Amino acid sequence: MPLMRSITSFIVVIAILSIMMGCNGPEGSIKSSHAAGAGGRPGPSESASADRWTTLRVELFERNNKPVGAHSITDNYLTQYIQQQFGDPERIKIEFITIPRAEEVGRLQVLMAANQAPDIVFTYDLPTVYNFYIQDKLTDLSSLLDQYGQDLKNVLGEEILSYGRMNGTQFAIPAKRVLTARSTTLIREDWLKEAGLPLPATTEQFYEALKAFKRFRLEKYGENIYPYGHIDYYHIAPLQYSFWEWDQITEEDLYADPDWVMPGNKAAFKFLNQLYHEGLIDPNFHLDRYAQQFQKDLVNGRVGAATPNTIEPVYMGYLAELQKKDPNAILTPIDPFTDAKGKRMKPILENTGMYIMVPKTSRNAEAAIKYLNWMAQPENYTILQNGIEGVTNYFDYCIILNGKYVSSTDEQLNLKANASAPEFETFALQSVKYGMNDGIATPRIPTILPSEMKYSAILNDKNDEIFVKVLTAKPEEFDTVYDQEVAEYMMMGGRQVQEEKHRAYQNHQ
Amino acid sequence: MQTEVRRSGTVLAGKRRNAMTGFKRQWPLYLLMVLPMTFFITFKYIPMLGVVVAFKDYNIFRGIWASEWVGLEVFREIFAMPQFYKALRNTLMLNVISLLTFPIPIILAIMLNELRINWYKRVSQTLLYLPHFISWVIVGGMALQLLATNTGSINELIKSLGGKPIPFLEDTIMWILTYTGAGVWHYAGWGTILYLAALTGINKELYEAAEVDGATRLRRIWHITLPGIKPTIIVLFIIQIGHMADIGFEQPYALQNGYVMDVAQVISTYVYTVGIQSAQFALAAAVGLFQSVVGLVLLLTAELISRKVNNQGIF
Amino acid sequence: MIRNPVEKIIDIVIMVLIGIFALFCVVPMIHIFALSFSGNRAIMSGEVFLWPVEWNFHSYSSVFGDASMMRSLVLTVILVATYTAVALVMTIMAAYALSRRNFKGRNLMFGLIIVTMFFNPGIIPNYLLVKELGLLNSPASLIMPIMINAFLLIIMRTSFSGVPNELEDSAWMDGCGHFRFLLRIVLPLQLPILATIGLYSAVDRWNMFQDALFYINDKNLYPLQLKLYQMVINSQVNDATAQEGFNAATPIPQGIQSASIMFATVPILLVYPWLQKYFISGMLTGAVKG
Repeated sequence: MPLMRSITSFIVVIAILSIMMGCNGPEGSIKSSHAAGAGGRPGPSESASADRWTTLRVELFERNNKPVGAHSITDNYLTQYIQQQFGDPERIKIEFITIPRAEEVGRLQVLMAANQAPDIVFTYDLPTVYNFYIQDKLTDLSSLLDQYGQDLKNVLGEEILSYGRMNGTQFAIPAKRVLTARSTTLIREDWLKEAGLPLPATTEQFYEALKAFKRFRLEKYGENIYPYGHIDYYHIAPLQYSFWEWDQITEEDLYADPDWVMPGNKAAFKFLNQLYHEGLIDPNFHLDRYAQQFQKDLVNGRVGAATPNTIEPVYMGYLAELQKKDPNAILTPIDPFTDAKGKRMKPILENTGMYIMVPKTSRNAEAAIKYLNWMAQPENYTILQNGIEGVTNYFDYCIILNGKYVSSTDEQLNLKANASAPEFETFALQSVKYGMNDGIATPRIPTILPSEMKYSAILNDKNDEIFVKVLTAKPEEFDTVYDQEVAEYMMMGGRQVQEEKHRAYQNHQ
Repeated sequence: MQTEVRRSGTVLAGKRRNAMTGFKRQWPLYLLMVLPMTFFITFKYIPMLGVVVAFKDYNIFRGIWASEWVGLEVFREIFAMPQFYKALRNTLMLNVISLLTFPIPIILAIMLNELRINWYKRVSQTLLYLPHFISWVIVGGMALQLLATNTGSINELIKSLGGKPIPFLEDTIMWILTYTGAGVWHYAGWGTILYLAALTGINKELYEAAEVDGATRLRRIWHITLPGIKPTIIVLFIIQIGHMADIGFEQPYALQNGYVMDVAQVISTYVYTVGIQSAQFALAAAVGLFQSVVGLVLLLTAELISRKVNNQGIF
Repeated sequence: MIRNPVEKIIDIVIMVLIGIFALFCVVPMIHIFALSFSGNRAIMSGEVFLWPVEWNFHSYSSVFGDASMMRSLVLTVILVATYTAVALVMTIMAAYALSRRNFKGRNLMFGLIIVTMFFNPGIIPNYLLVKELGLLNSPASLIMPIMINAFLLIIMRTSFSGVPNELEDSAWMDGCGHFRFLLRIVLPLQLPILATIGLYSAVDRWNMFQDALFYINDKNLYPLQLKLYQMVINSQVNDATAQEGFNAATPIPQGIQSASIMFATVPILLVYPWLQKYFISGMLTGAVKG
């Protein structure tokens, strides 16, 4: 009975393994990763004064996309640089705790709940940050910043730091976002030339271009294409903003009201609905959840225009793919969506990136601030941000900056540094310029809104749902569908959020 | 036939054995249960204390017992949400439709059992299991590549054959069928294993005798094969009934899209959005508790009915 | 054996039906296979369906060239083997005891077990328990919390209940206790169900990664499926690029993703043919021997 015999032998194996596992608790594993992270330099345990060393545990995103043969993200030139330049002189042992990028929020919540979080943690998710703050789970960093954080304060500036402060408590240190352009419209200039059209300067011209593309491809190649690609709620914002009646929108409205009730918003969606029914946008747009099909379509010449994240075609590599596939293809940034007054309003990103926090359970808050301050010194962030060959996501070490930062005075230099690839520098610079043109950031009020924390996730989902429904509604039913869906949105919590935000805005003035 | 024989044997044996039911005979059984029961208590019952969360204004950091009691407030809140009913309705609808596919693995297993060419049987069995090894995250991506109306490979094929593309993922009815089909694709082949294992337990002599009597194949299946795997069928059916009110997260999440949310938003995906993404753990726990109670009630009902009708259940 | 034409037609119909279903099952896997051997350009232009275009082994050489993938594979194999053995032993013990008809208290215990199928405490209580037991970041955290699957236990118990009681009685008369009866008679009779439960446990553990996501910090201990999951999910970068702006990391090409899926799937597929022989020996042969 071979199966029986193997079962018996397995039992023996388990017995041995369970004995081994018995001594492999959390302490055991920390010890072993110490050894791995030390990279061959004299570790704390080897020196006689072992007890005077502190271990600083720092969160690090694990993206699982390192190329073959690359160094481990927890042990490479940069981690060694950090250890030698910062750690050793301060007698601090830096240990990186990797957290899977795609699951960071859930993972962080669990680690915090179990008091197991590293000394430095961060997330982009503001509701999560506020939750930690409400639960009193975060260290107040005000005095430590005054004491050890001068360089950090210089780089970030008072405004950014103020977004991590409430009632005098510095519960988080927001990272600085270097470039705040959010999205930029692009068009196939070579196709425009073929059709004898200029680069669109107005919404009307953009619409004409889309129609020309459609007709032209059908006549010339017999291809039925959908010229305006990458259609989702987030990325149509420049078009949407161009329909809003800005003279009727106060700063308070912009802060408090949902997009759906903005004056002019319905007209924007009516226009998109029209594009849909004229076959100018992909009828399957809502299936392309992660914009993967869009990239393929663009590369294969099935898309003539789109409004992706600014410079995304460069850093995601599909601009290069397009040119490889069709050397004649010219993808050009444009800024066509114009409102009644000829302005090109569009949303831009907040000037903050992720929120960096020190959990209250950490006994190393001082070392944490020293580390962040060290990172804020120009020679250090320059090295951390420019990385070395073979470590692709090296920017993950420099958590205080989102985007490459070269100069505090010359925006142009920062722009250039972020252009990603030299051959696309003009494209990138132009993209950023258009992405910032008449850009408007949503106002921020430093307060926590319970209704928003409760409903924001479900309302975000609802946004996507309404988006699909109103775009694909039959033209004659458009108004009914729009009104009905928006009413539902308001009922699902939209109204509570709106009212609470108005109150918060007025109280804050 | 076989089960009946067994049962009458039990009755006789039971009478004879009264003397042997004492501790002397049973202590090894208790000994065998020590580790398993320790497991269930440690890993299932102790964390289950966390279910109290549902009745509390849960604060994960203060821990379960230190959080404030809010009584039935959380439940009241859930039952006041119109979307919760929609999610519950969709969950039940998709589960009931999936229940209609319950016989598919049985039919497949019987057909495999009837196959006479051994290599064909082995190869097709292995192929049937393949989908079970592809996780739903990957299936979601492939669904788009294969089934999209505009660019999907299947629709390209239909178009090149002169047909009209089928909106597999956009039309609500088609989506329900796609969802169900994907479920069959993913589980049916794998589900045959349990039945195939049960089929090996059938006495081969019964088949030989039937063949001598000149019974047709259909009659043999009806009178020998099906009764032989009936206990397995009943157990699996009762368990599936018990799971009517809950639904896995990954399959609906991977296949849903904005166009079909009216039928695709189910309890698990709703809880993910409302409970987990917004860090409202009390709400998530309360929904979970609601599902558990409904599930348990359904299971017990199915068990009682089955006892009445079949004289067999899972107990 | 006499075969009439009707029987032959039925044979053919069955073969065709099974064949169609098998095809339906295998097409997506062939698609992944084709992608894994295709050139990046061909994948991007959507030319690849069921046959590789621009054949090459680049994707595989990057997967096999990645030492962490290989280590993860070895680790996962050891994990799955250990887990399967533990799960089998635990499930057998419970299933046997609970299948004995005169076992006092068995309905109470069985009821307690069935209840656990319906109450899932959620990730945080589970995490806290694993932490309290000192299992965090240890492979034991991927074994102990799921040692017995109540569903599989019910299946095995149902099967064990089918062992005729006369066998137990006669064994008892022969002075054979429960342990010897279980090892000598029940288990040999129940090989198909043991193989089935073993296979289910092995495949469950192989496919599962959610627990590792939370319990394992050290990425050197990541099981293969967790690595694979992250690879796929990280390529769905829409939200991440929006948040990170210029910092977004380049996703892994679809060819390499597909090769990784093959790499993470083929090993577990090999288990089945190896187990298949246990599905042939059945009750009858066992009963005669017993």
